[in-house]
Amino acid sequence: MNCSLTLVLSLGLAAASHAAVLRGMVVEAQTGRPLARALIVVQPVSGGKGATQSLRTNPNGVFEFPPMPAGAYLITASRRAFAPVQYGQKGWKSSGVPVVLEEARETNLRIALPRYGAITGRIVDENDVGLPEHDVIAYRNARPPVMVGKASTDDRGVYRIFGLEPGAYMIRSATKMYDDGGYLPTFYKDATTADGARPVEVVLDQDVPDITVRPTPGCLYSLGGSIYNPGGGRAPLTVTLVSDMGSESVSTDANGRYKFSPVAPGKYELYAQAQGGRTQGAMAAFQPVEIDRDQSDLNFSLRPQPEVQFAFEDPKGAPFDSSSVQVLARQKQLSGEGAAQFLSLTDNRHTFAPGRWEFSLPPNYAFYVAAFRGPNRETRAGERADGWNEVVLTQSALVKFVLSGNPAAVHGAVTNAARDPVAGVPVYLEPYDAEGRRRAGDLRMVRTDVQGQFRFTGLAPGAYRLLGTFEFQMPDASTMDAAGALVIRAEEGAELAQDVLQYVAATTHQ
Amino acid sequence: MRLRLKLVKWLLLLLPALGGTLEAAIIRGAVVENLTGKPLSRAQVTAQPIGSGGPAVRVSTNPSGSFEITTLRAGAYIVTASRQNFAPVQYGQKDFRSAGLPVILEDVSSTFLNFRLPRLAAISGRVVDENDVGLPNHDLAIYRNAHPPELIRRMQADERGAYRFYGLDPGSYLLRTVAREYEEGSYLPTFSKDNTTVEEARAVEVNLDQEIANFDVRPKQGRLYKMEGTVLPGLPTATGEPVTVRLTRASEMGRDQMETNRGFRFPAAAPGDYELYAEGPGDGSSNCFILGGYLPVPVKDRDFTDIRMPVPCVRETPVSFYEKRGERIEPQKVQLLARRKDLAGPGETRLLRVSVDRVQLPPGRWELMVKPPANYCVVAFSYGGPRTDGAERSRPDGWNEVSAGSGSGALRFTLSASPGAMHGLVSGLAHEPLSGAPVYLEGYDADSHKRVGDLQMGLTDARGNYQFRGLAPGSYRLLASYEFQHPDTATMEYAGAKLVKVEEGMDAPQDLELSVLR
Repeated sequence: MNCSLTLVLSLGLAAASHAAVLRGMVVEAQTGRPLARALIVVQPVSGGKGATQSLRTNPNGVFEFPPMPAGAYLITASRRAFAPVQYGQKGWKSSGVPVVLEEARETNLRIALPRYGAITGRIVDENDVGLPEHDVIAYRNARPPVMVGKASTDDRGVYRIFGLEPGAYMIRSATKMYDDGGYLPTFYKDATTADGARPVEVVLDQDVPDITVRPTPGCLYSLGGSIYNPGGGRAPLTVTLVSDMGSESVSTDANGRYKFSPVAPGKYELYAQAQGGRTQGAMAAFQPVEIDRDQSDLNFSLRPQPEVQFAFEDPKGAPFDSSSVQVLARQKQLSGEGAAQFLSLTDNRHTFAPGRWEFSLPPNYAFYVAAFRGPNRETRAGERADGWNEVVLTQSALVKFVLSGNPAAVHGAVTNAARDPVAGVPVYLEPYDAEGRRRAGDLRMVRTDVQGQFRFTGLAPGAYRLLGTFEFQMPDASTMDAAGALVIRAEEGAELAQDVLQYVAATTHQ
Repeated sequence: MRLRLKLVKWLLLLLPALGGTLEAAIIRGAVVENLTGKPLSRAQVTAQPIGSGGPAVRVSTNPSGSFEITTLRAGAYIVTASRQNFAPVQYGQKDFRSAGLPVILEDVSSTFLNFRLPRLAAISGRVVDENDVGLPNHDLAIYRNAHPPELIRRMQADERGAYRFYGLDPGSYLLRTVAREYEEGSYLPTFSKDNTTVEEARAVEVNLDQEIANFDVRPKQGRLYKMEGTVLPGLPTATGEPVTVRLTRASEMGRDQMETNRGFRFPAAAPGDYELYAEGPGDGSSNCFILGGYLPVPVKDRDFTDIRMPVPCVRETPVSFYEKRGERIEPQKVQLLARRKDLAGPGETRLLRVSVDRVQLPPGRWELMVKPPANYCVVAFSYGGPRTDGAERSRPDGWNEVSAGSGSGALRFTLSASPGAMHGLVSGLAHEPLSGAPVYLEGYDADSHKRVGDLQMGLTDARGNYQFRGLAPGSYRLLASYEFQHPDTATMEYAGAKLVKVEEGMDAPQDLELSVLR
């Protein structure tokens, strides 16, 4: 990655105000071929004079912006199927460095876009003959593994899972039944458990080849039963079986029966759903199930979808003005977490599919979440409630957020080794469980302004870690550890002043 | 070839001696991958008896690729090995397109057969832009190189623009990208390498066990047009909402489908002909068995942003079957086959259930064919509703195209109780009768030089005789040959198929000489 213009900015440079010219070229990193129609976005560092602008490269991969005020800008290039690049990134996991456009000067950039990584290989039988149309799953190598991609083999048993960010992955063949027997889900290399799996390291612009899996023959089961839909007649219902290998759906027959086959032994979640009729809303059901034998009588009834009444109170139990409160929700399934979405509440009510859900409130300068209460979940003394809070919804329920109007805040400056303020550097704030030494909520990030200043508001009291650096993009907890993130403590209603020394890694990250 | 004919002659001499033998014979063998010689487990091996009409026996190979069939009576069998994504092989086949030779089993005997299964062919390449950079997730279609091109299937390139069509029969193909509109620009449907017309398209020839690589396509940039609008279902749901219908857009690029009860928006379209058809649940009565609509949309040089598509109740279509002399034939005695025909080609053939002299035909173009009861043939077809514009009049015993859904038409098929028939003897180069020889009979329109209906195939019996019954009057072509399996019209022509005329109530003798390619 080109980082020739990686600079520590001085405040004087940021004050420049006359027109500057920015042009350049975007190429494919692997081949150097020009990339037509790539999107270039130029964003001034907070406090600068320019405006955010974007344009696309021409057929020769070239771009040129109209003259803009001199100053510091963050520049991002992207194109479909390529990893986006912030100009000045040292590596995939690092942040871009602002480019200083000088008065009445031209700046020429060359940006090389890398492709995401991929893993390829074959699924083979006992004779090394490829097994066609066999599903293959890629998991991020975490505990528990997180499913990130799925592919199916071709006629030769060849698969390719692409669009992978750099990192460690596990590859697993899915359950498959043939005329004369079944294959169990099997990790690379020939292991049936995640603990025995051999991780595969992926980097940008590279296919990791020859990750060949030989599925283990084994006993597969069937899962079936009937679903009763009160008032719904015999209209077919959709039944979905979810596991850590993804999900599959079937429709019930005329007698309301469903069947999944083959099913590998393990933990599953069963969902059923039907559209509402004239007098009732949508009906649904949720049932966790563990498979270790054939089951033909897993019967259950649909119920109205759970409706959640959200309540917002202050710590004294008085109603909290919820006009500015937004609720985020995401569904949790064995196949992974759904995308977080803002809820559109009607009278503070919302209907959900039954199952596991997590709720949180996005940071707000005016309050923080002091406590959470929901079905099977209540914040205990010493617990934090300002992150995601999980509940299991099987019927209508009350979910209560206790909000305090006295949030904490932290501000300061990021300085380099020479004690100069650094503009445009990312500052990360991580809610931190100091005792458990783990992350206690979502990581927050702001970039410093042209004066090198940052500020976080709406903080719950408790421990946090702070880090100012170009080395990472959204570092995980272990990266925060390794970078020596500064542990701070926020107190209710207090504004903490805390300067941060810019972290610079000793070696180049990739 | 001389060796093959000697073998056939030897088989012929053996067969009479084997007739009536009841002792069990055994076929053992192995199935391997042709290219590598690796054993193929879970391959299917089928022994189909010739002449006796007995059931086929099927087994699977074990993990070592071996199989054993132990329950066979002595006699002649066509033995076939197959596995998913491999070309099926009949024992004794000369090549992929040829028919297998019968395997003769004596009583209390053991025969060992080796099968080498070739993989079906593949074509791979990339969809690239003007700088040879792969275009991610771009759709492509593959066509059999015919006139007009015949759509085989569609797929999506990966993030590098790489694609791979596999499971292809040997033959000639055309590759074409599908019209696509992206945030950064739009691309016209383009044949490989970079032509928008089929006349300039570069064809590619593939064989078994072969992959043609680097067959790249560079889509041309150009203007696409919007296809958006509203469906107007004729029935509400219990809650008063319009019923949700499945809406299909068909073109020579394939089919796009969506479900909607109001607005729809298909991917932007290149200039060309399109058909929209919709189907949704009706109230179950004969006057409204479904909600349905059909709308041809020619796209030339403008956006379609307000297509209004009525999807009203559709009535069942009256259908009747009469004997030529005017007597009614019970619908239960015939099979009425139907397949939807749209710009993407013919759909799946389905059996239409006739209930109270009515059938359920959703709106759109359909092709209908009657399988008459034994000793009958179809001699006439009429339809009171509109025939499809431009549809060719076909022989009534083949596929008959109609434009269904108006509710005004009635289908009437006329059958004759005096069908034609054909029989004869197939002989080899030395004029010896040949048993187990494939004989192909093709209904043929001599004026348009086109096939009528489906190709029929029979095998000669132990004395080299064949017979076809229940034939509608008209022209046919006959061919006896081991060289082909299910030859197409051009192959029948090339192989010198014999043109014969069948007349109602007549059983025409037609002896054939085995067709041999030299």
